[in-house]
Amino acid sequence: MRDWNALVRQRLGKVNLGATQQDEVISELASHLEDLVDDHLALGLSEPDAIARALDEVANWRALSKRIQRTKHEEELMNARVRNFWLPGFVCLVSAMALVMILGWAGVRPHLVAIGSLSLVLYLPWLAALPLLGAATSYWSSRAGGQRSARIAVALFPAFAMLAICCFVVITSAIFEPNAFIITHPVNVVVTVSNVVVVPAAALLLGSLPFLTPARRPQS
Amino acid sequence: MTKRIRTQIARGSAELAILALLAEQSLYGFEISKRIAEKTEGALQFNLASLYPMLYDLEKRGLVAGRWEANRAGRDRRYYCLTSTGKRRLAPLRREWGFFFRALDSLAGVTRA
Repeated sequence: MRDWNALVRQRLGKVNLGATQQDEVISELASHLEDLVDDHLALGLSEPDAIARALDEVANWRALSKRIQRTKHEEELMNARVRNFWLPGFVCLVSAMALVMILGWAGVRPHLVAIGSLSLVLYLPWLAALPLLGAATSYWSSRAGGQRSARIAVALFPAFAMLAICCFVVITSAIFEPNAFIITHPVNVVVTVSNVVVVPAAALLLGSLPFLTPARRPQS
Repeated sequence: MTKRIRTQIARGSAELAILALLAEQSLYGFEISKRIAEKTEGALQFNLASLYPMLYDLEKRGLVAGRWEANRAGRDRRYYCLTSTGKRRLAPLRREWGFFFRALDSLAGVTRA
């Protein structure tokens, strides 16, 4: 009996898919060929003719391999992006926000750090917890096969969100109100943005550092 | 007719054919190609190279779902069934193609020929 799996594997060549998915595709195509040959045999063809007719179904195996790879790979990429970026990123953001709210309810007071005439408002317990959050979500992304850029982005997700909010508030206040203070005191704007974006980003990034070594393969 | 239009018609009709067939029952790839050829008296034919990329695309879009099961001969085959998204897609697809053929008919008198 002919080994259809081996034949399909050899003709398809290298398909850039996960091992399980590749095996499934090969098995499925092999079983189709097997059914075709049985069908042709039932119609009275000789075995060599039946096999030749079945193999005629694919004029270009390389093109078929590429089409399958393109279709399946996009699906894999989408799933991987959700697993190693969006999911840990949103968890990082929600956790950071929840933590700051809990500290507020618990009555933790912010710490004021004076820089000349300006002052930074720092929630020290929150900042102390952020490296753990950055570490946990970077590790999560790493386990899900995230590249180094994904692991950094995941850890910095809350900082990106805060930056987007700051930009929105500053721009709308300056243009639509217009808020004279923002226009005349750009240094205060920079300090405020540093307060809510740069300092937390540094803390989150610090936690992710141990997990920025080369990517692990996704766990299947 | 440009190649782009031909491709879109072929793709759209193939999608309708597969979804309509799977609305009746779950089938595996070989059965799908055979049933389509039989039901259309050979007018529509899928070979291995055209069928599976189409099935994988429909699966990626969530219109069909595949699962391995043993067929009547006891061989493992990947059966495809219509998902709820696929069922929702089928009704407007039927309407669109019905409208398309009526429009073509009124223009070219295809059924009166």
